[in-house]
Amino acid sequence: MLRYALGRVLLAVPLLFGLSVLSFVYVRLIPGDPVTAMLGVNSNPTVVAQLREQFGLDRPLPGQYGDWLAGVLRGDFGVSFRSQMPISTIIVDRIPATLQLAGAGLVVSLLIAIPAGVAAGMRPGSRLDSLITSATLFGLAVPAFFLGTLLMLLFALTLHLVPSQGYVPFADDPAQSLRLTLLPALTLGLAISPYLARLTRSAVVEVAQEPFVPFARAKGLAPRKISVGYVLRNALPSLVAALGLTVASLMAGSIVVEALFNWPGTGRLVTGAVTERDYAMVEALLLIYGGLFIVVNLVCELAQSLLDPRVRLT
Amino acid sequence: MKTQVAVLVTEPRPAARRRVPLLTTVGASLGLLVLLTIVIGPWLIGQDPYAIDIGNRFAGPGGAHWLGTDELGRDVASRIAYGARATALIAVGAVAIATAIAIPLGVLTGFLGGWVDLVVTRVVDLFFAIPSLLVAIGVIGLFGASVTTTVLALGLSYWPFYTRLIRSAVVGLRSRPNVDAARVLGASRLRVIRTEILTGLVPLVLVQTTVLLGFAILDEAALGFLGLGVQPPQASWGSRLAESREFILVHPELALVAGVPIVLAVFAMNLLSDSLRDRLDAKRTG
Amino acid sequence: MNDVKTAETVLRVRDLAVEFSLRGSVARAVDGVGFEVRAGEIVGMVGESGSGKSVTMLALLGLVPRPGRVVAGSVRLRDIELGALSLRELARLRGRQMALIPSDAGAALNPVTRIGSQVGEGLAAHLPELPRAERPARILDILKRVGLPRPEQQVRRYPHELSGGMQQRVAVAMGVQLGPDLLIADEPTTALDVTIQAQILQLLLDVREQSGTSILFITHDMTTVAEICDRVLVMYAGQIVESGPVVDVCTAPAHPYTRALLDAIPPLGGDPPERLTTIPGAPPDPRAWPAGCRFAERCRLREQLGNPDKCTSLAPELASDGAGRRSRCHFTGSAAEAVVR
Ligand SMILES: Nc1ncnc2c1ncn2[C@@H]1O[C@H](COP(=O)(O)OP(=O)(O)OP(=O)(O)O)[C@@H](O)[C@H]1O
Ligand code: SF4
Ligand SMILES: [Mg+2]
Repeated sequence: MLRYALGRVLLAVPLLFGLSVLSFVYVRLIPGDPVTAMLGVNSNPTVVAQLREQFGLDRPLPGQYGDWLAGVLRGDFGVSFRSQMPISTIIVDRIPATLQLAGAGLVVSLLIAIPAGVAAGMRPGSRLDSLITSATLFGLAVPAFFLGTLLMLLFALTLHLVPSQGYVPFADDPAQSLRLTLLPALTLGLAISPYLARLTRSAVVEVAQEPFVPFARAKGLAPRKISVGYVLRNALPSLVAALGLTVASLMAGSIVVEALFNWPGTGRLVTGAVTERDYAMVEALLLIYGGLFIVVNLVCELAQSLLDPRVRLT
Repeated sequence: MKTQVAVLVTEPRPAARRRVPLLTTVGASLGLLVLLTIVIGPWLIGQDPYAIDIGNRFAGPGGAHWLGTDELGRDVASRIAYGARATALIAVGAVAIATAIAIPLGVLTGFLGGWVDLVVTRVVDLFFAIPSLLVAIGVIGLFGASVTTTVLALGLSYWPFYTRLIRSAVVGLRSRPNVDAARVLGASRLRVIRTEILTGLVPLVLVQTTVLLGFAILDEAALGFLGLGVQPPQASWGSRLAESREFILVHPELALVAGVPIVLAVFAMNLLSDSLRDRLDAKRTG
Repeated sequence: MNDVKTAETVLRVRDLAVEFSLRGSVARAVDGVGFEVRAGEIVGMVGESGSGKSVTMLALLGLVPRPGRVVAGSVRLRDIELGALSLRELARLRGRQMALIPSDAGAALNPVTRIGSQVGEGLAAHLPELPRAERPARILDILKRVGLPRPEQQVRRYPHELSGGMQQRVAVAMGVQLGPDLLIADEPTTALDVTIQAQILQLLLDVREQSGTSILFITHDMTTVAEICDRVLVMYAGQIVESGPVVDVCTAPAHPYTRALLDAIPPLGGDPPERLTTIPGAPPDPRAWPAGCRFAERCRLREQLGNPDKCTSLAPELASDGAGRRSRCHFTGSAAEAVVR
């Protein structure tokens, strides 16, 4: 097991390295150079030279990369070309909001997708299965912003049950914070659940065909015990691995949902940085999102092997 | 011969096929509707999507404006119909780019194996490690938002996953007996690729094309919504969302009207790809 | 073993029929099967692959998988009519009064649950009144009884960490732990190698000896039947074609199909025959059973009798000889015997 884990971790290292090179090269691909982009074409040449020196842009690339990476590893992503503030400070500020949204969204989608996927997968081809499968096909076609607009129109603008937009840190006012999280989280969760339900269904279908399922019935175990303790439990390892991939949808979805609900998370930062051409910020965000995705998937793979006792031998 | 394992369950259940021709019909009709909107919609509606009429903002549906007017008094229906053209072009272009990268790379790596496979697969893995919307956003960050950038961005965000699919399909095809037979009979690699591998990929590519078209429509809209796609006032489904987003609290119906065609078009693609997959699977398994 | 003839009946199956409907066509996989199992008896069920053995046993358990359906018949376990039970009642009965021993325990055990807790699941489901604290002792006890070596260590292991023979012992333990009236063993030894097969067969004999459990033993191996069974049911094309005491059936088969099965056994110890007689031809399609005798197309007796019309025009009944033997052939009896010899 330890060797397996180590192997997995070692496999992720070159990915992370590649990602860092990619992010680094990315900024250097910009037509012109960042300083001109930042100050405009008609800027004072001495100021430009000064800034270039300050950002280390006048040194050879490998050296720049080394310094940059060393900084990144210390949590220093440099300074935002726009606001001149340290990028890490800006991002760290936004992380709680995004985590709150993504976490709540994930919970919502799990609550919807797991039961639906299990119900459909336990009886493939049944009426319930075709119903759920068609629903997921439709759900996959409904974009998060559309869904969110509908929910907002219904619950905020018409029924006035919850505020339509905004964010309050949980620490400041927990109740209001949760009320404000409700719609965005529901939107994000509903948007992702079709993917998750399909993944669950196919994992369950596979397990439900294993001989230990009818044998469990022959032992007279309760249906609940069979669908949870046998089918779901055996589908869990592949579900966890699939969950890692769903994180990509979660990230993409949260960018859109944050824009719709005016939610001040890192997703707003992504859109803002691209529109404002804040390249250092885009670079940092690409690196963080990509790195997070790699790490989450690594963790999921490790969890997958922990959940399957058969992996331990190999 | 049955395996021992199968004894308990008797035969493995004949893989339950969801025979729901109704859904296929729905998908095909919706697809046709979208196609008609693209082809004759603008002509049918007969309104200028760019004609501003400030005196007639936010007009409800009716009269000459089937779906009402927008925040500048422009005809919503014709903006959607013209936007459909732009969105369709973007989707087709993006899928074409992804396919043009994925097929050669996937075939090359899957067929040759060895170090070519190893290197390219690592690179694919790397791009795969970045959520595709972020790849697209990165590309847009480089070149600025526009129609061309959107095509490029979406195309470049789909190729990693598509290449993986093609590669594994090729690996499967390569180990089939007819490929061995062709090699034994002295066919050149190129010929084998042309006759056995590429023809074998057709079903997968068909299915993936519909799947990706659906993705591309969704993503064009998402990018537009974020203000990173087609820029207003140019008409596209995405830019329509960007425009309506500013008034979302006062006129959410505009955003909904802008969203409906997207839902229908993507649903059509999903239904079509699903029934296509079913049909091709059924054919393969006899 | 000698008094089984007078022992009470544990299982009585009458006219059981199971149909699978697939894409418009209907396959009657089990068609009018009827038999009895008495207390302490081991009844063998043999037949070629696809003859309906497994489906029959699944029907007994009420576990025919979709799209299959029990369309007719009655199954009585002691004095309970199983068809009249609710799904819950049936589930309560499974594993307690009627237990299954799977063919491949390695695949039938839950791979993610330790042996101990897995054996305990049956106790928890069927004996909720048993205090939790007493379960471990019960589990160890039953594992000891089925001869699992070092049970204290095995309970903490996962199924894949056990050998095939040990897995099968665990499966037997799960089957017998609640003292069922009837054990159904569907080819319980096919997945094992020969020495282990013998051990498991011996284990089943021991279980019967100790607890008087009746066993329905499904196999396609006539030799195994001869070794451990008291009576045998021969299945062909969804029906019983012959039944009777093992000794009688093996020494003097009444049905041509049984004879063919016996001829297919390589003689023990002696020289292998020049050609191993397998039965030529294939069983008919269950979606369209032939009108007459289902064995007609492959029947050597029919050939030797000069292909009488009766075989293909009239379906033979499962006729009883009044002495505990039944055969489904128009020409059962000494006349036919004489022709074959
Ligand atoms: N899940 C199923 N779907 C459709 N038909 C089935 C299914 N299971 C069984 N059948 C039908 O029932 C017939 C009998 O199958 P069964 O498994 O009972 O045979 P068997 O005698 O146990 O064979 P084996 O010796 O191979 O285990 C098969 O020929 C098939 O036509
Ligand atoms: S009835 Fe005819 S075909 Fe059938 S077993 Fe008897 S002799 Fe053979
Ligand atoms: Mg069987």
